[in-house]
Amino acid sequence: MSFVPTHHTNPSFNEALGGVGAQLQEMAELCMNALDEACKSIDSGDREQARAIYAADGRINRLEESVTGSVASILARHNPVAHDLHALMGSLKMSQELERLADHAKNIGRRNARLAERDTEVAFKDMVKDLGRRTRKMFATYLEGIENNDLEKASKAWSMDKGVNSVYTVINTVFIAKNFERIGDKIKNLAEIAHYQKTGEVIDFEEHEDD
Amino acid sequence: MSGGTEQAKPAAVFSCQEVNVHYGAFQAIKNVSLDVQPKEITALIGPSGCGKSTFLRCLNRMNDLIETCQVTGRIELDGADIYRRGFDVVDLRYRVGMVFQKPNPFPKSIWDNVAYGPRIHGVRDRAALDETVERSLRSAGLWDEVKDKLDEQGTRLSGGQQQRLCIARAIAVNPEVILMDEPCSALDPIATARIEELMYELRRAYTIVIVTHSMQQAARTSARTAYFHLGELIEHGLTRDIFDSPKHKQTEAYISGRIG
Repeated sequence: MSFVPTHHTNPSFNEALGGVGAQLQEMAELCMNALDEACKSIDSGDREQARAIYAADGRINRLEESVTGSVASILARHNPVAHDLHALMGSLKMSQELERLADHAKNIGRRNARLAERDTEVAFKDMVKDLGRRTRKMFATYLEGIENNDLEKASKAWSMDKGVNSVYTVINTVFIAKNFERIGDKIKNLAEIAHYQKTGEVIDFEEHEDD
Repeated sequence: MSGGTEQAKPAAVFSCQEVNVHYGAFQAIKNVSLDVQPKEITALIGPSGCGKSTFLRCLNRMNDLIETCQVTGRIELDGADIYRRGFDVVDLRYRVGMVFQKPNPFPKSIWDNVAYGPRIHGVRDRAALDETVERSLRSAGLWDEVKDKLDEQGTRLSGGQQQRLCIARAIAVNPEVILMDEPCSALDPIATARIEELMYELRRAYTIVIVTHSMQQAARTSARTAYFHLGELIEHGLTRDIFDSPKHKQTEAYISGRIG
């Protein structure tokens, strides 16, 4: 299976679908790397490590824009319906989720680098590392499910989220602040989408300095 | 669907049960049962030779004109079996008008084309005929373009205008149903869009059944879609369901443009 689980007999349509799938595949691989680097940065607090995640994040952002463009072009040119349409609309949403996932990985790297700059370490280190491992396993399960055309496995990642959430509760207070920040981020995204709807042009309003 | 929803449905205009059509030894329609709901557009789609046009022509007994054609089963219009002995076929064709693939205005004036049906129906009064001509041409979205040249030959209009003239001619006799057999296949995209706009308006007053090769046209215009394949009705349902989540693989393959 691929990230665009459909196959068409029209070669040009099929090639376009394959193109979207390949872009999502690359996004997923980059996300997994970013997540790995984020986990490592908990121990190292290395600035270089944070930079590597940054570079991948830039590429992931471009890929998300590219997926949006490709899907819009397929909608305009091939009039997909039924299963093809579901596969494409899902691709669009997946690219957005992956892009956000990479943003969070980037921010983990950046925070660890900041703490290292002050010669300090993340608090509750073991718990945070465990959280990292669980999250990584969740993502690996999802990717394995997609690769092996195993919808059940891919869905299993969803139930694993509960395990991560139980650790989450410990650091609730910190995340209340983070949730407010995320809301702000979503509002920025909504503004970008409004721009896209009006002009067809994908833009990225200035990157937030803080995650 | 729940029983309650079924009961809420208005009575079908056409109720077709186990319809079979043979051309000599060849069976063109196989055991098709289908209801046509009032005041909405039903699209019949399917690959060439699937029987959709044959089925459409059963609805006003146009197939009677083909000697080898034999229709069995039951087709009711407002509850009356239109194939029963003694059924008035001329009256049937007033009630169920038809627009064809190629615009076919009579080689007469625009006015005569539209007044033709009512005159045959016995309307003699010029004022009444004028009124019918204007009302029909307005309904067909053609009045403003032709009101100053009603004496001109209908055949001198553009293809799209000719097709709208044919629609005006069909509605001049106040039919209940308009059958359309690929009405846009000979038209350019602009003329096609005008016919589709017109269909959208006409559906308020008439029941429309359209045969189309354009899946997008079916998706854009109709409330219900019936998919035919090799003479069988494979799937019939709300157009939004057919184009979003068809129940049959064959339907999905066809509407999504897959071969085979």
